[in-house]
Amino acid sequence: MNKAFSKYLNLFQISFKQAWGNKANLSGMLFFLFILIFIYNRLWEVIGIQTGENNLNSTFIWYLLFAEAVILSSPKIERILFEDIRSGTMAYYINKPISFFLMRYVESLGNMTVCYLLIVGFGTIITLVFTGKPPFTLWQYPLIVLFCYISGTLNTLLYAGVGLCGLWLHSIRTLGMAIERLAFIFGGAIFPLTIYPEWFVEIAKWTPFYSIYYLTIKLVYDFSWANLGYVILLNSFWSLLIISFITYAYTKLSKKVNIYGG
Amino acid sequence: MVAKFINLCKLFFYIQKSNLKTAFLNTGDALVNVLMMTINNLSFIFMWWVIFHNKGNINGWTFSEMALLFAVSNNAFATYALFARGIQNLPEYISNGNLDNYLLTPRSSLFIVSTSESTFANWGDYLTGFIMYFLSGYVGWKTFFLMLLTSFLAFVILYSVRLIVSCFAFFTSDTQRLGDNIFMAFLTFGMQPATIFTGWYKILFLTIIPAGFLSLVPVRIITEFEWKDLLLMILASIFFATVAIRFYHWGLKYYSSGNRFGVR
Repeated sequence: MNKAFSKYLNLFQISFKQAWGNKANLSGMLFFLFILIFIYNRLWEVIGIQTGENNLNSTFIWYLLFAEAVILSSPKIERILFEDIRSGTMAYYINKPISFFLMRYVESLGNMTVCYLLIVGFGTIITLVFTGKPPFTLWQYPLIVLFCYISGTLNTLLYAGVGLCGLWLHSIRTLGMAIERLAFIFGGAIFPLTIYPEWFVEIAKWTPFYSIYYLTIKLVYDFSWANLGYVILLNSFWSLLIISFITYAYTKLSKKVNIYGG
Repeated sequence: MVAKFINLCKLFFYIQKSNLKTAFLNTGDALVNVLMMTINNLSFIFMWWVIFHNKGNINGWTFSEMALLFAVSNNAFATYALFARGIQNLPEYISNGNLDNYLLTPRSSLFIVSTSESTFANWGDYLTGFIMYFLSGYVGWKTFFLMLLTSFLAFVILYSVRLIVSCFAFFTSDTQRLGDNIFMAFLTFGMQPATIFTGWYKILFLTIIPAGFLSLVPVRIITEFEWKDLLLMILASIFFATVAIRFYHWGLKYYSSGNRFGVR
């Protein structure tokens, strides 16, 4: 058990170091984050002045920061898995003493962790500069960071499931994009679901994005132990469903794939 | 000169014909991709509809102006993604030496690189663009023509920005993702209600980051047409295109196959 764990831990460390070494990529990501926070801060500032709601930008921008931490840190695992399936790379790994899927997932987590930590670190500083006082207390901050990180790992798992759809689909690019957009809307990735009509929120509740994104990120401005418990419960339920789908698809895939492509 | 231009046009249409043929090898897949792209765009627009529905207007802009912005920006992006997307692969071609293949062709290397990739799904952006135009409430022959014209000019600016960003690869390594992120930031700027940028922000919005030519100026041209706005947009697109093309040719002087990083 320990040996198996250390294999994956090593993979995690290697991909962490690789991602850390890619300075141009990371600086591009942080530049994009800066622009995003700048633009939406401006938007909510203008709306806040117009409607007379003070601190509107503070609530929404802190929310946006953690939403982007979950989304932007996601390493496009669906494309990596799809390419591996299509090119036949997966077949080369399947007889190795390591799970191909876990290998790719752990590698993605290493990559994601670097991006997540940088986004949260850099983002916290610029959001503080733009908005001033955050809507949470100091002791709530590490818990929010931790639970959003867990959401990030679940999000990566979800996209890994999308990548495995390469078993049935000719291309997953558009499916990936559609899922991304659904996550944006039903998960309230840019604007919290509070601004949407009630009927829409009722639909969103039936999707995994509601708990993985919205409920978890909402802790930023609505932290309570009851909310935290609800997040843990719902996220556990959705992770069970996603893992079941992945196990089913991966078992099928392992039987079908060959070196000439899946 | 004219013969050269006609030849390029012929080649362009031949490439587009091949792209269409390739996409329709699997008709169902192609159409589903277009549909998915349209749904993808419309769901993003829905978010904005909700904001405008709740807040009424943002500094004078209503959902009608926002719909026009989406019409122009979607059409401009569709033109880029269908006919000139290859330019985003330029950093990759430069770093692995594949640009050699394009430089050795008797045609303009920039033209060949630009048309080397096309994403059929982006026909969905055109569909979204036209849907948004008809939803904007500014429907008429004059506005339709102005929408098409400003979409084309916005495409020229969009393409120029992407070309400039891609050309960074001539001078430094590993700029693919950096370029993607800068371009994404530019698009994000261009997809916001332009009226949130005032004062210094507005100047920045029209110069260093020319995203205003994707949103503010085209919408103003369509809604309250004035020749000086149109002239400004034409001059801006000529200016940015000239800068981008010159930057590309200047970058080429620094290019050698030795730009390839790694061991062969």
